[in-house]
Amino acid sequence: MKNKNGSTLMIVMLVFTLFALLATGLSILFFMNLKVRINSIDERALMMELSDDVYRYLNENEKALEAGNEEFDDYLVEVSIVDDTYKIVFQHSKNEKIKAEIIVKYQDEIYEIISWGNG
Amino acid sequence: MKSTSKGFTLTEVLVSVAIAGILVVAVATFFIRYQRLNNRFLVKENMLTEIENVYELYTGSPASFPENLNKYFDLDLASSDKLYYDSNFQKRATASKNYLELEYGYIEYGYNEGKYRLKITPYYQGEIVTFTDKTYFLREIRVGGQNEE
Repeated sequence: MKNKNGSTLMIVMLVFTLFALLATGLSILFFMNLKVRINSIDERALMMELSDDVYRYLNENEKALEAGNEEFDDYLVEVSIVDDTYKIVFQHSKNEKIKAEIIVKYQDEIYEIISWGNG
Repeated sequence: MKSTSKGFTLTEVLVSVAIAGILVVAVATFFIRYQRLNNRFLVKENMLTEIENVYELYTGSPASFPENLNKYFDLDLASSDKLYYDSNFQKRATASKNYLELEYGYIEYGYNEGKYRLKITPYYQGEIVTFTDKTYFLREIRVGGQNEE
């Protein structure tokens, strides 16, 4: 398959192979980028849902909390008493990145959130 | 056909063009699919950012949420049942008391029995968009006597 000038079909095939490899490499990179974005969207949405659930948890507790661990929907809730405030750790049972640590104060039968830390 | 000593034969050219065609179609299909997914995620990211902004307005001060919402979207929600159009005469928002419909979803809010309530249902182009297993985000904040309406 060689002509007089020395060009072969192999060169054309090599170019195609390189093109195919480049396209494969790019597609892997692009899909990895998509995967990272999907995870980021999921985490942001779950964090918003977690904060909604923290408010719901506090709304449902009309009495002063007691120290200890309990389950609340999909979360593990750890309550500890620090001085006259409560430290509450909300941990999603399926995703360890979905976590919030809040410090609340119980006053006039409602909880006032003093600080909020995510992750 | 008399064979020449220069260049490729017709068969070689045809095979090369066929392989190139298959590769180009495969790559083009992939990029079109990628572009569609990318646009979908972009819409979702924009929605989340918008919902986070509305949540921030609400959580910081639930009692003055309607006024802050007015300022944020530059609307007048005090009057009921109004349609809002942008400068291109495209419908921008539908608002009534305690309800606002936007390009990215509806916002419902209110106050009942010591609790402020904000419900956001994300939708895009007539379809509800889900982020978790729920179709909406709901935040209720219980307040004490001095903060009540």
